[in-house]
Amino acid sequence: MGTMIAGKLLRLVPIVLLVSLGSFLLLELVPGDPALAVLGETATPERVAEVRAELGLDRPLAERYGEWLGGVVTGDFGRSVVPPVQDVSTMIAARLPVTLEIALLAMLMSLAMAVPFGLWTAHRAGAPLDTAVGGAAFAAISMPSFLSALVLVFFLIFNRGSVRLLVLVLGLALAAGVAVRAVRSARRDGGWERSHRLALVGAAVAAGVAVLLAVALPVFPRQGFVRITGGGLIENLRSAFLPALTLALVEGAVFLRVLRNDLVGTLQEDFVLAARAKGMSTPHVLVRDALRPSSFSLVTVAGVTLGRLLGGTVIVETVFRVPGMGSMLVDAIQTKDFPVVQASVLVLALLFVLINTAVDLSYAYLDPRIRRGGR
Amino acid sequence: MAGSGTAHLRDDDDVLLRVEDLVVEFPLSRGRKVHAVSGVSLDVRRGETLGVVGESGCGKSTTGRAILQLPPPTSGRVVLEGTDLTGLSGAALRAARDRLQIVLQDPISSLNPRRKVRDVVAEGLAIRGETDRARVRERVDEMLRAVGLDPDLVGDRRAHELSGGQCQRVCIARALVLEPQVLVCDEPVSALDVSVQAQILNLIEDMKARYGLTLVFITHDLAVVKNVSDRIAVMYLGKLCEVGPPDELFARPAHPYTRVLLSSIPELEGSELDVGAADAGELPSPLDPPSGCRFRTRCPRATDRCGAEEPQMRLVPGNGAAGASGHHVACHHPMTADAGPAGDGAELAETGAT
Amino acid sequence: MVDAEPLLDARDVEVAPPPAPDEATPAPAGWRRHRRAIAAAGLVGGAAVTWMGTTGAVDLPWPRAATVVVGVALLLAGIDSALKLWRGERVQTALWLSVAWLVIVGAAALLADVLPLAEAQDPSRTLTEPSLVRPDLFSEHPLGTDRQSLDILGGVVYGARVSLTVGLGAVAIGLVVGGFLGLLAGYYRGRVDAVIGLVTDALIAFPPLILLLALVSALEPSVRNVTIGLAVLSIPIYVRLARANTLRYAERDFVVMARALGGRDRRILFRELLPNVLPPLVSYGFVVVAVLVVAEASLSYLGLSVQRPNPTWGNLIAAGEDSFDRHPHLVFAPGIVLFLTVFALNRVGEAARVLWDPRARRADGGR
Repeated sequence: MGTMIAGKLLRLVPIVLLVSLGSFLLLELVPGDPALAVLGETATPERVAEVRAELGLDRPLAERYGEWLGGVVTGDFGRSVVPPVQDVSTMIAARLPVTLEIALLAMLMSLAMAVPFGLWTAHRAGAPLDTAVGGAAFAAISMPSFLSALVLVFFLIFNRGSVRLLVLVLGLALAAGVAVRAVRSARRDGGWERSHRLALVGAAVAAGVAVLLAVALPVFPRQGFVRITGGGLIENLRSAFLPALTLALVEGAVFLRVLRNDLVGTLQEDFVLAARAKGMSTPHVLVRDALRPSSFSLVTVAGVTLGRLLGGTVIVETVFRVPGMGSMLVDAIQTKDFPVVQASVLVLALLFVLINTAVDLSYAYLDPRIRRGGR
Repeated sequence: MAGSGTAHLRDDDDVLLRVEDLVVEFPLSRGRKVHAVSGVSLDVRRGETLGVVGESGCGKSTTGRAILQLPPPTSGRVVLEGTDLTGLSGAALRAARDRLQIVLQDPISSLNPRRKVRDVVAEGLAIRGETDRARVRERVDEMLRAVGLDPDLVGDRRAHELSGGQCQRVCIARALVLEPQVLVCDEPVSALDVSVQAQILNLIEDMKARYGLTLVFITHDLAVVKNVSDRIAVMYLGKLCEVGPPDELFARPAHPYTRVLLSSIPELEGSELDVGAADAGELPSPLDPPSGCRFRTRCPRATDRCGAEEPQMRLVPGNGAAGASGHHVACHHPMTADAGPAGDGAELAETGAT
Repeated sequence: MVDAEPLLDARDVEVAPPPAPDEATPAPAGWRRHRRAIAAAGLVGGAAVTWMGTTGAVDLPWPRAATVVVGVALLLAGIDSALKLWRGERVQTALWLSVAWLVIVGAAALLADVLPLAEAQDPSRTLTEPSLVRPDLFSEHPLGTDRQSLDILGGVVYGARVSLTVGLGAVAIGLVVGGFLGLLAGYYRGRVDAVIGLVTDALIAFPPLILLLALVSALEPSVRNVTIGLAVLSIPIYVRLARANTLRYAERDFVVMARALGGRDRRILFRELLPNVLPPLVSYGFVVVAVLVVAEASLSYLGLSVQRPNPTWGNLIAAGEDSFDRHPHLVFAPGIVLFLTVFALNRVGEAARVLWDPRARRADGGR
């Protein structure tokens, strides 16, 4: 296994180099004079020469790349060429934590949504709830994230009152429906069995959640971001909630589908049947016997997701005007601030590569077949 | 057993295909390699059928494919009518392959699932550059009829619409449409149902008579090989053990391994063999084959000499009849007629121990 | 562990699994008997209610939206029942509707120039038209107009043209280039595979949207350049897919046989392997088009793709975002079309993969 880890890490070297070269060469893709692209056609020749020097365009390509790479290694990404001129490293240091927070939050939220629903729908594969949740997940996957962000804004911010009312009415109606069914079937079966009592508890919980949401649905800001240092944890979470939820809707749906399909397979394995035959309770079988082997693919998907979230934050940061890496990249592209574009593309890509490699390694660690083979 | 040498090769003009000291190795990571075939020499006379037997993993299929240069062997010579195929490349090799064709074990995997039967059979002609469509079609239909298929019925079907037996017939048609001189049959019936095996064997015999083919028949099934072969070569772990005519070989096996193989034939003739079960030991790894005689790790008669020195092919000592029949063995301690004929496994072990 | 215990628990198991009909929505058996009635009622009633909702017979925003939702739900139930009457109970209504939707969007994009659409691109020609008209399906502006009185339906139709051109074009390029490279990598293995694999890995090392942003940051945002950018995005997907499929077939005996018959590499690659590798690649194309349509929409939402006044779904939504608390149709009209198109592509793609990709078929269409 040691050689495998070494092999994977060794493979990182050419890839990281290619990624850095790709980020660096972006500037070369610009048709015409990049300095003119930065300043516009009306710039004075002196100013153009200044920016050309700033971008290093007066020197040979290889020399510039070497110097740039040397700077990157020491954490120096150069300076932005569009005012306000500042160190790109400083800009990244300010914005990267915001992006990471949103990505991690989105990850936790999608897990929180996917695991319970995944367990339940796998347990009841083929039942109406499974079909409904599956359909909803499929729809969520087909939803571009900027669109779901705007839908969330529309309902949770612009029409908060109506949504509270709607949640209350629908939640209570659902609870009443479930309760009535339970009472009826209990009367028909001539006694209160465990399932009927469970249904009643479920109804009560649904009603409770509906009331709670209707009364205490928090007010989310339409835009902006509050840092922990600036407004405390509560304010920080409130401003990060909608961006994270937007991302979590799509990623949670991906999670859910993977987990459910995985679990459906696991639940048909002999050892799960054996556990059932031995008389283990359903929750015990689901969590202890089925979820544990499936957690392996979950980790894989989670890692891939975290990587994808890095790209996804570009959209939500723009929709919600959150000052993260993504919005910085978009702004820099619009103002043609090439040093900032290069640096942020490189940083995001490197993070992505590192996460994927970590996933690869954990995959090898978690998969008993690979582990056994290596030792 | 399991030795080298070329003493068993015949030196007459009638030899059509001659394989000398064939070596095939597959490189693995870290400098290791699989010694699939290590110095095998064979020859086949015009119109003869050579049976090659051995348990799975002994390198017999690799030998068959190496004869066709698929892939070319690591070293050694494959001489077809005086031309060394191993030296050829490009166009010359492709031209030579017209004269040398092969039928593989798995007929379904041998057929492209996306192509129709007629196109499959016509492929060799197309590659050769036949452009006259009507002539090609006529030739293909004739060939299909020859292997017992109705071209109008199956001509436009694809592999998954045919039975295993039908697929193998298509494969035979595809090989024979080029009118080859030598046909290598690599386990042509072992993937088929028992009921179909006899039909395909009969078809191959018919084709041999009709087109004057020379056959190399590779199989793990001794019962099959006994019926079809003029000469049998027994292989073990990439080496030859024994070569001889079937009657001689079955009646007086000289190599301990041949004895083991034969003793594993159940009383009932023609049923499936399980060579490994009759044996105590496991097949050694071709990654790191034993020194000297490769069979010594499982051989009841093995001595120190077997580990130190590799046995060479030599004429089986014994009566003159055996010598004339060309019965050769590669063993330091062959089981000759005087050692007592047709003993069972227990006797064999006793003899070896003393 | 103890022998007596399982006995006790076995009873528990028997009780636990069958129950909990709490979530079960209406029993299918009952519905089935009334297919004909549901179909008729759904189709007629749904159409009527939808019409009521859109024409403004009810003129308050929420009741109006609710009316439309109810109408569409009825209509869908009606179509579902009608299809089941026609094609049997196992018909996949969502798939049929998806195909129908794609046909409509494709036809509209193709015929955009000859359709009787109101002006959607040039504000100087809509000075006399009313601005910010709400959608009314049976009026001159079925999806309403925007701040500059431009027709939303027209914008959506021309946007469909951009989305489909870019998505299909990029997939075609990705399929040809990526498929070819993957074929080579899977067939020759060794050094060819290593080089192609390294470049592919380097491309995949960028988060997809970031790579796209990086490419368009340097180039002019035109249809051509966006197509190229999206193609670069899809090439590594196709390289991997083609390589994996080639590996599956390259070891098969029919490839050995083709060589035994004297076939050259080129013949084996294109005559033997390609016909087997192509179907899964093409069937995967729908899903890739869906991904690329989302990517293009995201890009134009960020203002980095085709620019106004040329309408795209993304820039229509971005333009409507400012005032969509009061005029939600500016965002929702193009948004719903975008969502439905992506949904339909994904749905058809899933069906196509089950049909043509042996691996997906074995996995029972999962994942």
